[in-house]
Amino acid sequence: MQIVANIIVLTSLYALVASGYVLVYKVSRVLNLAHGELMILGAYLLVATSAGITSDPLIAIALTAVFSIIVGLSVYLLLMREMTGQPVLAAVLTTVALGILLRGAMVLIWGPQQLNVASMLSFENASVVLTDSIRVSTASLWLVICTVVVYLGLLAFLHMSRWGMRMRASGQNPLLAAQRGINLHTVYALAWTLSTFSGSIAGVLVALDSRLDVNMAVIGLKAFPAALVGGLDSLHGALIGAGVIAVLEVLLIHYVNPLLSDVVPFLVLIAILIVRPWGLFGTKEELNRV
Amino acid sequence: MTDILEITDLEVTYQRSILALHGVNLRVAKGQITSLLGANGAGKSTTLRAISGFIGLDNARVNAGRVRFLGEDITGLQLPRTIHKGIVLVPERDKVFTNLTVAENLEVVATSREEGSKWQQIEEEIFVYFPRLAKLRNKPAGLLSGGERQMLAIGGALVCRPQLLLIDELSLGLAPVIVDEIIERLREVHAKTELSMLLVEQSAAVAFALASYGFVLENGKVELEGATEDLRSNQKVLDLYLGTGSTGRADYLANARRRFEERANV
Repeated sequence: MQIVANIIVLTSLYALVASGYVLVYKVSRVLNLAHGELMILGAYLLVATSAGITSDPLIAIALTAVFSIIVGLSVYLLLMREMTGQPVLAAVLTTVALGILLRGAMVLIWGPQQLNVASMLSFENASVVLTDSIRVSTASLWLVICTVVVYLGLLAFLHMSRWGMRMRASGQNPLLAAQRGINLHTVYALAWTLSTFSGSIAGVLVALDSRLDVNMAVIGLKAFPAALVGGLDSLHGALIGAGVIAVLEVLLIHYVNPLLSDVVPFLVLIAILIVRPWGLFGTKEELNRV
Repeated sequence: MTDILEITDLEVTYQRSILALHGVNLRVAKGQITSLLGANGAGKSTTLRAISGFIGLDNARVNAGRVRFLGEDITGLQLPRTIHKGIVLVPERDKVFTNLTVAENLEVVATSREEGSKWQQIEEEIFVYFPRLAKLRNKPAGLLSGGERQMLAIGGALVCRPQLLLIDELSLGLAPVIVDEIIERLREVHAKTELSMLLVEQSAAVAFALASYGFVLENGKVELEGATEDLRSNQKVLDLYLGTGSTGRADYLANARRRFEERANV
């Protein structure tokens, strides 16, 4: 049974990170390859907040959430805004550059060594006994809860609020959205903000669960197959894609070889790209009718 | 009668070099429906896009000339500011959000001022004009037929509260019986609201059925203009757009072929 708990926790992690990829892609067709770095930046912001502003874990996390919103908004306003109307490839390459820059900046500021964020915040990551045979860490439990809340919130926002509707509309047909008076910059800024926010939550919880160093940005890369397997523009697809990858990863680690853990997501990625390149629930890119 | 829109000597280039309009002059009278006729590539859509505002993606620019709307110079004004002025375009292609339902397609464009009950009222208004849409309100727009999409697109544009409605290719690709229905609906809208419209068409029959005044565009220039009755009896229009004259059409086709071959040789 422990294995089921592990699968659920890993699914939550991948799903939470993947939601960030999906949001930005769904709305602007840009693949944000700096998402892993932005996620880890969220965790480093927590380090900075707890060291410089307050040592109360709850206030520090709340402040980190606010800072992550500011970071997401700044990334759009200062960088990605200029890429609106440019070829998508230019925008994607900009995110690659952003990722490399962020990685370098984080090493410069916080150093290459591992940080124990939980102890800095005096957060006790005790393991919670759910039943006799199932134990999960407190941070993992929070991760599952946050993922559920974020997904319910995002789905409700996208389908019930007017700005959510505008985000879906702009992703499908940006020109028509502009012709109907929807301000694309507002919509894109919203997508980047929400994406960075959910990514930062994931980063903070991962850092609390283990240690924090810059190389953990690779989790972002591992969650990317989850988004792609589900279909890059489908939020519930990302959830299911995350599930597929988590199941395979946990089972292979358990029954075959733990060394496989890093390659599993990419094996699934290659398999899905061959069979169904637009993902399980994604929109098949159509050629324009002439 | 005052003109709501007045275009003088408008020149538009694409990608800094391709001249699409060479000095277009046209006017839309307030409260009237005006048509703009022309064949493929005559510059009709470009004219509409120049009025409703280009976006960066278009790589198009107004080189010369003036566009005046309600007496105000709006030349080169970009989206979404043209919408705020009251100019709304129904584009030729991709005119609905296919992943949104019919009701969402209408709601998505409404400004934040129109929440709640007032919004309901606007939605009902659109469904009165297009009863067919009311039955489809929860259906994704991607599943609608061409005619239903056109109605939804017009409905969506009307939600934006336009003072001037621009419609690009009202009848293109639609079955005649659907075109008749849409014409009927637009007449109703016009009778009730006296909305000024500029209608781009390839079919003279459709243009004449709705408009009271018309312009004929050819190779980026207005070749002919006049009241619908005058245009209806004009030999050239008959030849080119109603297909009633045989010689004129043959001449036109021969000319077109020659131009095409010249271009191919270059």
